[in-house]
Amino acid sequence: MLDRKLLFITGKGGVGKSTVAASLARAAVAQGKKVLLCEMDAKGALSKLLQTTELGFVPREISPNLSAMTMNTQDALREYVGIFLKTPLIAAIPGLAGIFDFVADAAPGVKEVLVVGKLCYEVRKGNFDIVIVDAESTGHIVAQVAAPTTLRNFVSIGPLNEQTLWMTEILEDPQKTGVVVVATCEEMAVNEAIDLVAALQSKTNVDTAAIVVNRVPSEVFTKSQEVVFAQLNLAKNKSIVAKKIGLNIDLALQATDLGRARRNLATHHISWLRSGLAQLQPIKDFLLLPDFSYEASDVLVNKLSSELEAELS
Amino acid sequence: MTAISDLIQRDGLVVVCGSGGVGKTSVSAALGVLAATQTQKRVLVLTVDPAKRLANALGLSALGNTEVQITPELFKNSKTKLRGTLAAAMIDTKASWDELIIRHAPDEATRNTVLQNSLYKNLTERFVHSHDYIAVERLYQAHASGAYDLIIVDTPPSRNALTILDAPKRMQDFFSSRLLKLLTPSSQWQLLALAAKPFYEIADRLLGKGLLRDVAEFFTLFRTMETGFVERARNVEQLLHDSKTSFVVVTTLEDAPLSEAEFLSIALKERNFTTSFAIANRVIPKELKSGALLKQAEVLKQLRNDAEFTSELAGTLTSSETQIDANLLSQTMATIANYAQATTQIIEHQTALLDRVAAFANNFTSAPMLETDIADIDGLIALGESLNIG
Repeated sequence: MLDRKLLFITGKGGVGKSTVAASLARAAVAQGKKVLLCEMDAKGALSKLLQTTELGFVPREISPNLSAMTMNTQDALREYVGIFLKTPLIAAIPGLAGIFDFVADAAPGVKEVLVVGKLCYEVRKGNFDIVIVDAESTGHIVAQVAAPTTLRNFVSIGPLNEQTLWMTEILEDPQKTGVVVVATCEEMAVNEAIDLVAALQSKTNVDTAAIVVNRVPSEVFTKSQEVVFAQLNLAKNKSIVAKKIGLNIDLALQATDLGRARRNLATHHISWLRSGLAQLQPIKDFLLLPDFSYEASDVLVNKLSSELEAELS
Repeated sequence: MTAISDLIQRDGLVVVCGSGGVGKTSVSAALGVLAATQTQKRVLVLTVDPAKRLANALGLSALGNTEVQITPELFKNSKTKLRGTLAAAMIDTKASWDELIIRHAPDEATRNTVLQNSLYKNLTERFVHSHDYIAVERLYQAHASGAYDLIIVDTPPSRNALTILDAPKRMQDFFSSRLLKLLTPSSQWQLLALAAKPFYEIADRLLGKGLLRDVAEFFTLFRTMETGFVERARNVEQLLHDSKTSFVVVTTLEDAPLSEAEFLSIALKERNFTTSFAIANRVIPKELKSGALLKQAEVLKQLRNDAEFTSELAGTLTSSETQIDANLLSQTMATIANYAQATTQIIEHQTALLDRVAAFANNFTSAPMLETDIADIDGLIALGESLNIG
């Protein structure tokens, strides 16, 4: 997965897209790659996770071999006009950017093309080995990666149309581009992940590189330990055990049981996810990441990136 | 400090907001169930995209854009009964937009042209944060119908929970924007339209021929509905600011959602909205006390290494059906001790974060981490009751 040039990390809101994107970026750096990490929604979550100051449209190296930027349609438009049309003067006309923003809001694919175009442009320039995108949530990603094609269908001629061709080449090459769908072990997150993969496969030619299930609680007991736990947890045994130990251990049992319940529920959702995906075209990587959600963000990213490195090697 | 029971006793509107994945939809449904079982009110829950199981929990095979009454039959196996009435509906953005166009279009021709315009679908999906606008618009509509005493709306997932508050204002601003007037010249703007001509030429060069013109044509039609849209947006905005409307911010006790909740709560105060409540969701159950847990963990850790003790206890636990091995017992005790200890760490972490909730919210309550997903009405009743107890 990290051998590709462009990865979009997406999933339902709240599943930990930014964390996974940042961790993947760290894992890629650890493999000796030069990485650009791009935040799509300017929420500032990424800079917080990476413990750096606010990010801008111009990539900034925040640690050796790791650069980061935040996407901005206006800047992307200015860059597009400057680079591809070689008419920097036009871009400077006051109010023009406003008009474009307005049109871009209305016409299908314009905004997405500017954004995706910027990402593809970074890939084409080749300053980085891999561009990792902390993308928008599931609702937008299909429109985003399919934007060059959508726009081509809408505007038949013109420079914007021509520009979409090379973008499509990068986006539709599974060696180069992939979408990473992040889910957690929850009903809605799993359903959205299945729907998203189905939509990506049916509505776009962009490859789904991996499914990442984030925050998977670890298994509590082995099968044989389960039997012992069940005995300890039996109502009739509780008082006997308490007497032997000299202390009531009900709360410890309850805490363990909560862990078991969370694990069981997670296993149930993971198998639901697997069976949903089994109906679709196969996806190469299916990764399970442990639950570190109670760690501070820097520790969290470090731990997750080590997990990812191990899983991907 | 007011309790959730005060919130549901008042007539009015409750806007449930917060970061994605914190359980807004379940909380909204549970508040609705609580209100309809504790009071005699006519309650409506408006939700965005409920999990299938949650819709099923409300006794609905699927939630549509129209409001569905939940029958008392659903409560027949529950100890808690409906005292008021409870309805639920989903917010379908596309269908709601169509309704808006139908309502505001000056004539049938305009209506049909807009509804069939190829730009229209694209617009309804993202234009001026259309999901957010539609959510508040539906809220207004339900309120104006007079059919409900209490309406609870679950807000759509958005980049920033604030966008929903600004949605009506943005809708008004959109119609008064110079840009729109430039693109869609009415008589007094003809001169400006002439000035816009070079823009069209440049736009054709940059984007492709005719794109801007198509967009302009669409907006010219759209502007015929200006009066209706603006007036409506103004009413919606007033309703959001009305003292009848309260905001509930839901968060889990994790750093990212909590930061969003803090940000949201500050912004609500700055804009003079009535913030009523913060809800901390998925909190470790209160009966798990960290002091007692630590003590139990210590004892278990000590005794698991006592070979004499474990073999004796293994013997005691062994029955005719189950053979308990002392070694296995020792391992199991170690795991239990570890879980007890880890739980105390989570409790401490959550307690610290709960202080942050208390710092930004005058009123807050919490709901416990559940062992299963909510799949039936009893699940919603239980969640509502824990919110009520706090």
